[in-house]
Amino acid sequence: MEEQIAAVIAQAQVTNTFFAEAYYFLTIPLMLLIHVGFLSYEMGATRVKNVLSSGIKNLLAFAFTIVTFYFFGWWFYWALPTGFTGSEGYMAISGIAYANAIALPWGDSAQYMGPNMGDHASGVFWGAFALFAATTASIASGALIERIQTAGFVILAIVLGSFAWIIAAAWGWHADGWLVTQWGFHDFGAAGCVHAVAGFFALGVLINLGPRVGKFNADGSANHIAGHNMMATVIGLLLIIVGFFGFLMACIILPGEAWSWYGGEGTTIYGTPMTLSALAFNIVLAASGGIIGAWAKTRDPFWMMSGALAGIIAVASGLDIYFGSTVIIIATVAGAIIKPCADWLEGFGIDDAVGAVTIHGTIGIFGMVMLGILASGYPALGAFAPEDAATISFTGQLVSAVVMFLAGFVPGYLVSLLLKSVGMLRVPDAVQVKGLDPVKVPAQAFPEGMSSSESEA
Amino acid sequence: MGFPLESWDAAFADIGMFVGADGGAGWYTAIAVIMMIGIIIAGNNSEQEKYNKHQ
Repeated sequence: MEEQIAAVIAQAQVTNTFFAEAYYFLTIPLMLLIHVGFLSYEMGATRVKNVLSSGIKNLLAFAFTIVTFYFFGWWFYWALPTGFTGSEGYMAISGIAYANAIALPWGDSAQYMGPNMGDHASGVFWGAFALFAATTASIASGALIERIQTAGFVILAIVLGSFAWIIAAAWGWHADGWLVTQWGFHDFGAAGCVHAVAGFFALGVLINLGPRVGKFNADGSANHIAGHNMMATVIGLLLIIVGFFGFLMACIILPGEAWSWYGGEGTTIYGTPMTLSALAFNIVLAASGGIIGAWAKTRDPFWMMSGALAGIIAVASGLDIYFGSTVIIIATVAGAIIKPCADWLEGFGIDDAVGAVTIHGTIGIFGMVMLGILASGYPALGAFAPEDAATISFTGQLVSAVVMFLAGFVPGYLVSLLLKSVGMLRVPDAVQVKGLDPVKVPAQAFPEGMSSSESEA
Repeated sequence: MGFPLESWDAAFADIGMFVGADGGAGWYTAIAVIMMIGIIIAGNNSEQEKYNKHQ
């Protein structure tokens, strides 16, 4: 009898393991839809003369971020949660020694970076994080269209996707992260370490990159530069929302595995309890609130779909614990304020072509701080946490928001300044006027034009 | 290169079973890193040539 029970338990464990592996594996193609969306969004927001260059830039951001995340990005996540000392944290799943053992594609560690029948987790976790990394690069990509050089942008994408955001994630999106253990930072859906870091990285680059030719007049007033295909942009934004479901699914730690926090309950990355049902309520309500808020303010489909993104980002930090009606209120406010915030930024001479700094950066900060106001007192870590672990607080969320701002802005500004000094940042104005596609792309976006032939029927 | 294990049974331990698991992983990684750096440099050179024609 005992043998039969043991056999049943063993078989159940096999099923659980394959379910967990398949679950995370399927978040990866879902997250790829974020990139489909950003590609469509960005190309639609570009003028015809630059549309293929924007597509190439976006594709390369994805590809080089993924590759370099394999080389070294994954290592940073496990090595630096406690800070740049690389010491081991309370949960003993961090530190340079731990990272060296599991996250380098050479030496003994390589067994966890490739096919291994004893390891059903490393690849799917790496894959999900690699797609998070590529998402950050895609976020920044849209802000910089029509005047950034391709190779220079690739270097920036690598710095953002395989260094800046993953350092921020180690600090604030890891159970041993110092922002979590010392400040009680809670950021379930990565409003900070993905969105705010990417948004403010883009701001740092934009300062050195400068505006597109023709964006600003001599008196400082701004001109609207319309993209060639609003439909592609709006559909792209909706695809990003679809991809967010995969993104947020991947933020859950499933139960019952050796790496799980608990045997029978799902948790956040911090080990705090949560359910997929919570996400079902809150993601769709957030997207809807954001659309409604943006419509109320602008009546513009571009800003309405941007509002959907903003709505989700505004509540991302607390998607696991917010009540639905609270989500509606926060998301609607976020949708309503994005256009004024984007206009305010433009007033400083910043040409953010798609509003990425506002939607991801400003709203990411707004979301982190709102959680500090509304969820103050919630434990930041699960039941396994040390007794002196911090709880969620306004101060902790505010301090963490500042850290996220700096983690994005500083490397974005410094690396783009370096690229500018060696002539690898800005496309020459003469090329911008002629168009990037005719100068450097061996293909045409619309070789037969956009008009259709008259029907004889 | 070649099969790194005694048999497929050995693959069910917690051990890499990929081509190069017996010591070549680092070399493959080094070659891949050099390829990527070379491609970025070549890409940038090509890009600058095109811009220079319009300066």
